[in-house]
Amino acid sequence: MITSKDLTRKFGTKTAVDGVSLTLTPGHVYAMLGPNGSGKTTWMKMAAGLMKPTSGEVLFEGQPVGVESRRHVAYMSTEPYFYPWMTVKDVGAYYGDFFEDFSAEKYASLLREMELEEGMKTRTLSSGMMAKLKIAVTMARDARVYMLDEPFNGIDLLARDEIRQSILRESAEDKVLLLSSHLVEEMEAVCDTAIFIRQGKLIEVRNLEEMRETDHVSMADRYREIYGHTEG
Amino acid sequence: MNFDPMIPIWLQVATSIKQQIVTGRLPPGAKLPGGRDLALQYGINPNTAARIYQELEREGVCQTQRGLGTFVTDSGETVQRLREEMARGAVSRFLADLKGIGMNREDAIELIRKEDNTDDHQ
Amino acid sequence: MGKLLKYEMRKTMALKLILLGITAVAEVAFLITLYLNEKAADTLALTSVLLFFIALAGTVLIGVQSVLTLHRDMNTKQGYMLYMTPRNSFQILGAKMLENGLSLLLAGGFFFLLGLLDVTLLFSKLGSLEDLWKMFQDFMRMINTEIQLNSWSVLCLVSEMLASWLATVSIAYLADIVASALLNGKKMSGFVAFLFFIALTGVLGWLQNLLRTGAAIETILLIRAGIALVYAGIMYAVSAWVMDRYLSV
Repeated sequence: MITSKDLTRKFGTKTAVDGVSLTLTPGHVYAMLGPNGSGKTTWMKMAAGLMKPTSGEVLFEGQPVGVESRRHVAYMSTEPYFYPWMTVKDVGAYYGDFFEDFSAEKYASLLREMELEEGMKTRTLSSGMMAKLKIAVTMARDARVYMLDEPFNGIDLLARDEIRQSILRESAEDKVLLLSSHLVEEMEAVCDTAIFIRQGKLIEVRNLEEMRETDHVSMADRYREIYGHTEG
Repeated sequence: MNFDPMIPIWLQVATSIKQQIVTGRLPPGAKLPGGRDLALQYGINPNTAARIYQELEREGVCQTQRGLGTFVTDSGETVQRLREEMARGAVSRFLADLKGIGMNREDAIELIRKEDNTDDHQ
Repeated sequence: MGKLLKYEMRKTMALKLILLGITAVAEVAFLITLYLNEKAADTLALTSVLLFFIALAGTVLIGVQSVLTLHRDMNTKQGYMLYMTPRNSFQILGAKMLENGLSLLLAGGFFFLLGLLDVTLLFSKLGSLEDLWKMFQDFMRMINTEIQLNSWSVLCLVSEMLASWLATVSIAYLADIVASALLNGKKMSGFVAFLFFIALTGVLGWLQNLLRTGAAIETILLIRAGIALVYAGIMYAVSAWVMDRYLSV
């Protein structure tokens, strides 16, 4: 589980994440929602240990995020990040070298589903293939926490279905899955809880089925309600 | 399956399962997929999937036997009751729709008869 | 740290292969001239100087590349590859320094031996040159200078240069880390880092020049090398600490 306590991150005068206190518990698939620049990516990067907070803290299973948490947290950024001299195979080998929970078999099987070949060079991959590769290598890990930032971007319909299936396959009682995406509709059925962030602040956390039952709105509708009137 | 995101998803899947039971695609006593498999099959969150069997069991539509799985009820009467419930539901929705455009029950019966005839000719 | 080292080596492989290639070409040119056209003194001189230059420039470039690689890892998205691994800053930076140190050692050793080989071949082929060299050494002994240009003293010199260069690279690491982690790549950070670099390099030079014993020059060179290595170690420790506490990728 991941808990952020009054987590804040500033960039000069701009506050990207503003005192966010949030707990992600195992056994859930979360949707983190908010317009561009609302702080979702920054929050995730701090939870992944890639970015240091300005104040506040983020804990993984009670301990401050660090070397140990990186062992069990799989983070996938929106941007491509593989070394350009690597092939698809090299990327898998790299993950296998550093992450004990990485499964070469799962990787091979995901590559097949995504129609990616081992020999392809990362340098020459199209943006869609790069997006699929990032997912494949991330989901081939057996992590305790998965944080996927824009996993559906730039990906064709069938591959999106594959990705959703992959996400469902990994979700378990003892795992946290966090998805952040602008394609809200893609996440409606797969997620059970929505986290709404605006201008760095946590707005609300809702259980989706409850929201549908009591308010008769979809996640997308609630999104429009929250962000519709004022600037994101 | 395409979901209406404004309606609880568990409800939509439960309805789908009931339809399959009522049409015999899931015969009495048939084994239903486990919670996780159900989630994967329909592409839904596993917590949502868990709710479905809870509800169906409450309605007597299925039974869970520890260690063995969840099974469709083998009571033909229950299936029949279910079929009637669903039919009644469909009828009342139909009537409500027609009322919305100002037609009554007699118009409804007339429409059905006409519709039925054209069906025979297809 | 072995895995980290493996990938640091892969990151720097291209440059080394190019250097090896260029050296091979220059060496072949030298050998061909020596054995087929020994009278062509100017070509011999040219290829010799070229080889010497490649040795010098190559070693410098290896160090520069190491700093640039660190910079790229800290300031571009590629850095995620490195910093998302379950490794701490001491391991990450340690692997980089180790890779750099080994590369410099290997390059230095390689060029030193190559140089030794080429000089030996040169002397054996051109006996006249060797006589000239012996005359030069006698002359040096006559005027009682300490400078003996034999293999051992050259080796000491090369060691001192390599160690000092390694220390310089480690200073550059610290300067870059301070700029990236503490100053967050703001406009002036590059300039401040540069000033920081100059200052620390000055301190190193000052420390090395504190030696004023009358010992043989070889000993002095080796001690200077030792000072440089210790200094590099200190730079490493401070860099890793700063990186650990303050760096955001």
